[in-house]
Amino acid sequence: MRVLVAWCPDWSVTAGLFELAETEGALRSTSNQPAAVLSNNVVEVCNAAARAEGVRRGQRRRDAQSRCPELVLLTANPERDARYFEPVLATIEELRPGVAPIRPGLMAVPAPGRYFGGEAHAAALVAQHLVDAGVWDCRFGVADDLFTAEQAARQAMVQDCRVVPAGASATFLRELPVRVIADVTDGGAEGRELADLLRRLGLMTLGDFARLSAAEVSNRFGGFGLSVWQRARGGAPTALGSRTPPPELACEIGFEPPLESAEAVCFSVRTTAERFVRGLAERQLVAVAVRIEAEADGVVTSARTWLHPRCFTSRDLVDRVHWQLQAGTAGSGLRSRRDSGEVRAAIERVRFLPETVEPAADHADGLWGGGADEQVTRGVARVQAMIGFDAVRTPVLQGGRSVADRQASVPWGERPVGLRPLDRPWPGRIPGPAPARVFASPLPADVVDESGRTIAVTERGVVTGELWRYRIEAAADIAVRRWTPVASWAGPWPVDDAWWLSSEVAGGRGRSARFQVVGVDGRAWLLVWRSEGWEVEAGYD
Amino acid sequence: VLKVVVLKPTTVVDPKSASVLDARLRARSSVLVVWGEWPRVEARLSAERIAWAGVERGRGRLHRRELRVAVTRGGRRSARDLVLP
Repeated sequence: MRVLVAWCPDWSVTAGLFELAETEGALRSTSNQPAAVLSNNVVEVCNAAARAEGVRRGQRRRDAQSRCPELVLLTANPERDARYFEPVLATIEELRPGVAPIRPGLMAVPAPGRYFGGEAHAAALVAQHLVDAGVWDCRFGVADDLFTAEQAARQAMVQDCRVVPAGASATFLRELPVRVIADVTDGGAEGRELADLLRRLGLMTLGDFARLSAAEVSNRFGGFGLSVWQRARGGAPTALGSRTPPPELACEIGFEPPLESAEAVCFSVRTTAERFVRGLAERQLVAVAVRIEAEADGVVTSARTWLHPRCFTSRDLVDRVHWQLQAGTAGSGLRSRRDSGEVRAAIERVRFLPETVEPAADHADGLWGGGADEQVTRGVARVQAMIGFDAVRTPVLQGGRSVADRQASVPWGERPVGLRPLDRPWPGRIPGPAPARVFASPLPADVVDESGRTIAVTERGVVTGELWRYRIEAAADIAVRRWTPVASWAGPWPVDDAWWLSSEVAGGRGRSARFQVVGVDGRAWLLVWRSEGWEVEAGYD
Repeated sequence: VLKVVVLKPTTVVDPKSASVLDARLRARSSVLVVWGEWPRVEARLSAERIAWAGVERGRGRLHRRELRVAVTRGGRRSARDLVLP
C-alpha cells in the first residue's frame, strides 16, 4: 500500500500563532513572524524565521530573545496543537477518507493510485486545499511505507511532494544520516539514545545500520532497535490507524427574513433545539456545555458558552437563547411578560455547538427515581427563566485573608473561574470556626483600654494596651451600641497587604490587625484595627 | 433524603401566602427552616446562654462554643446543652 504523508513543520508554533491571531483579532502575517514555543523557559520549537535569526531548539529564553528581540514567545500547549490540527485533518478528509493522524502536524493517508491523476498531482491538490485553509507550510511524501514517506516529506520543499518510487524505499533511505532516528514518532528518549549510540559506533547512515543482520540488531539493540532496523530497510509493515470522521453534532437554523424580537427567535429555534438534543441522544450522549452563536448580517453578533449543572434539554437551550439575546438590551435583569424582547440587530441564524458532551449513562436517573437533585435543578431553572440567569447564584469558597474576601458567588450552573486558590497558606487568615455573619461593608466600632484610650497596633505588631471595652456604632440592635466590657480576646493577626494600591482603589487596605473579641454578654465579634480606626468585619452569632 | 428549604424573608410574610407555601411543602414532603419571623410555626428554636471557649485575655483563639438550645413546640418548652462544633 502506498502512503501519502503530510507534514506541517513546527506545528506548535503555527497553532500558537493561529491562537494569537484569533485572540488578539489582529490579522498579523503569521508566516514570517519569528516565533518560538517555550516550555520551562527553554525553546522547544521555533519556526523558520526564528531559525534564520539564530534561535535554536534547547536554547534558553533569554538567549533566544537576545538573538532575536522581536521573537513572539508562546507557551507549550499540546491541547492547542491538537485542536488547531483538527480542521486540517477535516480538510484532507474531504478529499480522501481514511486519514490517520500520527501527531499534531503529521498525518498519513493511503495514497490515491489513479484518482487526481497520480500521486504527485494528488499531493498538489491537498496542498492547495491546505493553503486555502491557511496552512501555507506543508510538505508531502509518498512511499511504500510510513517511515519512508515521512522521511520523504521531510526532504520535500514547501508545498511540494517527494515521491519515492515503488520498491525504492531502501535506496532512498540508504543515504540518510542516523540522526533521523531521533525524530521517530514512537521513540521519544529511546530514539534519541539509539541515534546517539549508532553515531558513536560509527554507523553514520541508515544504510550502514540496515546492513547489519537481524540477529545482531536484536541482540545488541533490543526490540526497539529491531523495529527501527526494519523501518530503515524500508520493509516495515504499514498499519494506518485511520480515524472515523467525528459525527456532525452542531445544529443551526436560518431565518428568512431575519427576526427582530427575541421571543420570535426562541419560538423558531425550538425544533432545532429538539433536533440537537435528539442527535446527541442517538449517540448516547448528552451535552453539559453548549456554545450558542447568533448571526446578524452575516457576522456572529453574540456567542457564549453555557454550562448546565445536569444536562441540556431542548427547553433549557431555548431559555439560554433568550437570555443571550436579551443580555445586550436594557432591562435584561427582569423579564416581564409584556416585554417583547427587542434585539439589537435582526437575527438571521442561530447555531448550537456542543462544547462538552458526556455519556448519557452518567446522567441517567437512578433506579429509584432522580431524587431531590433533579427537583432542585428543575426548580432553579424555572426561577432562572423568570428572573434571569445571573440572578440565581451559588455561594462558593475562595482563598483570602479576610472573611469577606473568602466569599464568592457564581451564577447557578456556571463553573467558578478566576477565583483565588484555596490550597495556599494565606498567612494572616483567622483560624478556627468561621463566623456566622459577615457584614458586606464593615461597621465602624471603637475599642478602648482601661483608661479610655483607643487601642492601636504598632508597626511591629504590638498591641498598645489591654482590650477593655468595645462599642459597635451602627449595629441594628441597641444592646451592642452601648459600651460592652471585654470578657476575653485573642489576637492580633496582623496583615499588611495591598499597600501598593492607592487608598480609594484598595478600599482602606494597608496595615491591619484582626482580633477575636468576646463580650461579657457572651457574643463574639471579629474586629479589625486599621490605621483609620476599628471596624467589625463579622459576628460569631 | 430529607428536603430542606432555608429561607430568610426580608419582609413580613402574611399568613395567607404562608399557608400556600405550607400546602406546597406538605405536598413535597419537605421542611422549611426560616430565619426570622413566620406565622404559625411548628417549632421555634432559640439559643440561650452562649459561652465561647478557647480565648483568654490576648491568647488562644475561638475554639468551641457551649450553648443551650431551647425548642418551643406548641407551648411546651424543652432545652438541651450543646457543644459546637
